[in-house]
Amino acid sequence: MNDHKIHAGNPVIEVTGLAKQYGKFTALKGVDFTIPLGRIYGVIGANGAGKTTLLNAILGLIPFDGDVRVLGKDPGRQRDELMKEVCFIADVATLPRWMKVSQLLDYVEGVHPRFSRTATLNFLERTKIPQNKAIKALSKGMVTQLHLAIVMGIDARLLVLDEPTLGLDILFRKAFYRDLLEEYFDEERTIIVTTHQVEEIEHILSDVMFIRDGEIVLDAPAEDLNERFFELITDTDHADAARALNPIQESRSLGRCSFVYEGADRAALKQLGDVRRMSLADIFVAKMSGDGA
Amino acid sequence: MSKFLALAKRELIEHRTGIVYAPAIITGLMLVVAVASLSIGAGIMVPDWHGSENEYASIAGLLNRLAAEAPLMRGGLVVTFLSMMSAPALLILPFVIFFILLGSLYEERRDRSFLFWKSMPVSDTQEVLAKVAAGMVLAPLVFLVVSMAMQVLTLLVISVIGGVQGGPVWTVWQIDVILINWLQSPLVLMMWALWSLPVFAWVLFCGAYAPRAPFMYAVLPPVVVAVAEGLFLRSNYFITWIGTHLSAAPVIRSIGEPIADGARYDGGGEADLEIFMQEMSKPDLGAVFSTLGSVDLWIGLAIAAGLIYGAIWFRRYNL
Repeated sequence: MNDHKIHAGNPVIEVTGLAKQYGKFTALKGVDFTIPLGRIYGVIGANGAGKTTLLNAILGLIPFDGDVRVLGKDPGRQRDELMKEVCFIADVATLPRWMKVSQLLDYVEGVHPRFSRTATLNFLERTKIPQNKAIKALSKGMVTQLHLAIVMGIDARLLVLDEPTLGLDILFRKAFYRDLLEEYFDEERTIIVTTHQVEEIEHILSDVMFIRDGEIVLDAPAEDLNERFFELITDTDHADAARALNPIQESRSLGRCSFVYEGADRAALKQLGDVRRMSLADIFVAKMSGDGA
Repeated sequence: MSKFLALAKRELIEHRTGIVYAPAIITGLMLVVAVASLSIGAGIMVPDWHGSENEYASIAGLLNRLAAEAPLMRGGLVVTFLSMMSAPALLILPFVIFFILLGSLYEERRDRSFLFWKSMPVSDTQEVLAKVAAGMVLAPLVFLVVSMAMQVLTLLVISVIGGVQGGPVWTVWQIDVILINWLQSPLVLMMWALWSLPVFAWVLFCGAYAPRAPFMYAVLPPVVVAVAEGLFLRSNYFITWIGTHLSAAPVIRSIGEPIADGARYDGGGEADLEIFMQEMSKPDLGAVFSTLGSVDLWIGLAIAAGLIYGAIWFRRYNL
């Protein structure tokens, strides 16, 4: 069916020298990376770091410099072809407000060769979304749920989610990522997601990418992060010794010292105090605010 | 094909107010006015077509009068009457198209729904052409269908009332003439669409480009150019050009000339009126296309193509 066969582990996205300039502002400084099939990538960065620019380039939404291949296609030139196998939710509640739910499903069924209305309806049945209502009558959370239902019906290889749950309440956010993981994701698909609520998606990510000032400062499998980043809690007596091991971040509170290390010898740290694993959010903060990065 | 239908259906839903409700309401009003005036008592005020004075006649009387006319005259009178019933809806059509093309590419950016549309396997070119087709093809066709339905309803109402009054009902059912007229109307509208395309393509372009207030972007520059030309060059070529294209004056002239020639009678010359009605009942379908060779038309279409290309470019990259 497809000229470009993709199997688990093969690259879905290959990016070399991707750069983007907005006037004098450099949004992306020539980044390189490869994303294989069957992964869930978290792209994490502060506002204005270049996350959305990166995703927009992959989706062919903006012109850019460098070479980007998505499923073997050039997103700049073959966006409509590519969208048969790529789905994205690029913001919260982007569905057309003036359409009824059923009319929207009619439309997707008409234009999308890989859309299964049955799959979408199966998912919709378990929600409170009425099909004969206009989308403007739905709550923001319901619109996001409906969008996810449509994504569920599309047999795509790549799903890109750019802040899909911003401003939704926690119940919707939790349900969104649970459904995504349990009902959508499999080894034949790759998901890329950006969000500010890092702690909520931490457990579903297979890979993590940190972006700062238009550069990728970290691109690693999630399980490696536990081997790579440690937090050492110690008292002031051991502070100098701890400092000698090149921490990327240092902080102090209530007479206790905390040091964050990247790629340090765990055994050596253990002799100085308590060594702890870090949450993704804490790693991000250390990596972004520390001078070591 | 299914993609084409899905896009057409979406445009119809999005612009249902302008494309469907507007002509339905206006022609509905015309119908109500007609029915009401036919139903109030037994009479209706009709201008007598043989003289300048008005006379009161019942529908039956009207039908009898019609029956006494020559066949060509009958056809011309019925079609002229029906065309006048349809005219108000068709007059608002340019405004409807203006707002469809101005709003469609602007609104989807404002409400961010373009991000959803772009996630579908539909290219920017297909999207923009769908908007053009919605305004220039879909809207005129729906207007025609609505006005045809209204014409049939009008004839039915006249038949029922005229029949109750005992008049010769068959006289209003000038089927052949009405059918030729129905055949000609879409052709005229399509030619009008071609002539006015550069003006509407400009409106579309402004909707695709304008960061805000697309109406000002669409209207102000032409006004400034026209005023500047008038002030500094003491000429009005620009505004004349727009007027010519927006009204498809050359098309109207080519189909209207024989009719106008016939109508140029003085002091109630009935022979001239006869010619006018004959022309109305036998429209020359070929004359509709006589402006296809016009250089001015093709210059306009080239400008339209450039503006549509620009709209596609902005649809693609104007996030």
